[in-house]
Amino acid sequence: MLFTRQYWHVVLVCIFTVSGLSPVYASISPKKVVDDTTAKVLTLSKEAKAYIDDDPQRFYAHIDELMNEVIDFKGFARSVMGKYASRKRYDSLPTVEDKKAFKAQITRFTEKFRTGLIQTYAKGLFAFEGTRAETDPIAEDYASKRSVTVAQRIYKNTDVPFLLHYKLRADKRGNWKLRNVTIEGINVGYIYRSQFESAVKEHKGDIDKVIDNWSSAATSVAKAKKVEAK
Amino acid sequence: MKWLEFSVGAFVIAGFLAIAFLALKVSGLSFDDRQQGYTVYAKFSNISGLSPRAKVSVAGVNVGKVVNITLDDFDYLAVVEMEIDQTVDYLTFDTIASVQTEGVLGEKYVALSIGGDEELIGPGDIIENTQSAVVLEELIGKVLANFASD
Repeated sequence: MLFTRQYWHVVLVCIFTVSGLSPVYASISPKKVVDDTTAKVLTLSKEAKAYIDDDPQRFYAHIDELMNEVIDFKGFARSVMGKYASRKRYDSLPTVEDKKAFKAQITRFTEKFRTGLIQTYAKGLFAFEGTRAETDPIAEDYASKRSVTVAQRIYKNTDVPFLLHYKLRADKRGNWKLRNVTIEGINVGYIYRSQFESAVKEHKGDIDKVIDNWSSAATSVAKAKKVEAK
Repeated sequence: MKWLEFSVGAFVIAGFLAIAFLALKVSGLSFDDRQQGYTVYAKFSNISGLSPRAKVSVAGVNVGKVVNITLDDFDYLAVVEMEIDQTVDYLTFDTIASVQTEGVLGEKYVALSIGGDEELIGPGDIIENTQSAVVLEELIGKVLANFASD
């Protein structure tokens, strides 16, 4: 009898520990994640004015460090790869080697995508020179949802704001991570997915080639923006 | 003489029936209301003329239809209720729903672009990852605003 009571104590402690843990992680709301990150990014880009001409890599490194905490790069990259990274495709592969190669492709693309995104984002961000941001409140029942959209308006020098919608999703530990963003109604993930699909067609279905050429594609976008800015 | 009147009457009735059948087919209405699929929702900031009974497609193939459209009173987004065929059980969680137009002046429909996520969308789930309809007036407004600020 004593054993049973002790046993139940252990079970109850376990239940409370587990149930108590998740709200600790989930307590940082998606809105706060967006607010905090935006504030840090705006401060970083202000500070970067002093050194960016001499040392752009320093700015990229700061942005990279910050973004690693809040963006689910693997999830975002898989979403961009779309059907070429799907579970169905993985299951249909006949050999273990093929499956390993498939996983390696996702890992490799995640890294390429991460580097390209950080560079493009950092350059764009610096050129944009946002001054302040306002984030809309989100529904209180966000903790029960699998994904949440946070709307934000970023002001430049004019009164006309840029409208952004961040799509966040809770990871296994309950941390809200960014999975996609819509800028002024344009779904960035959707554009990247279309770009990936076109690249697959261009390279006649060779995913490895698409991944090899991806960073140059991102750089070319950045270059084009630079020329446009001049 | 009687058979002639009878056959004219029958012909007219057949004509009306044919028109009614055509009207039902063209409008996409159906008396067959059995639930053959599962329901998923998608939130759009602008649906620009999408209406119930519009097509839902993957790669241009019809996989369901829009059942209902409501307005979310918290964030003022259009919530599109869609019925997806039971056989399409592979919509990933990162599926992107977009409002598109069939041809230049055609009807609006919802196109689904399937992603690579491990998790799948189930009955009652909401697709938050969407691309709303492009509104020409908004585009013109943005171009003008850009000109004004330059």
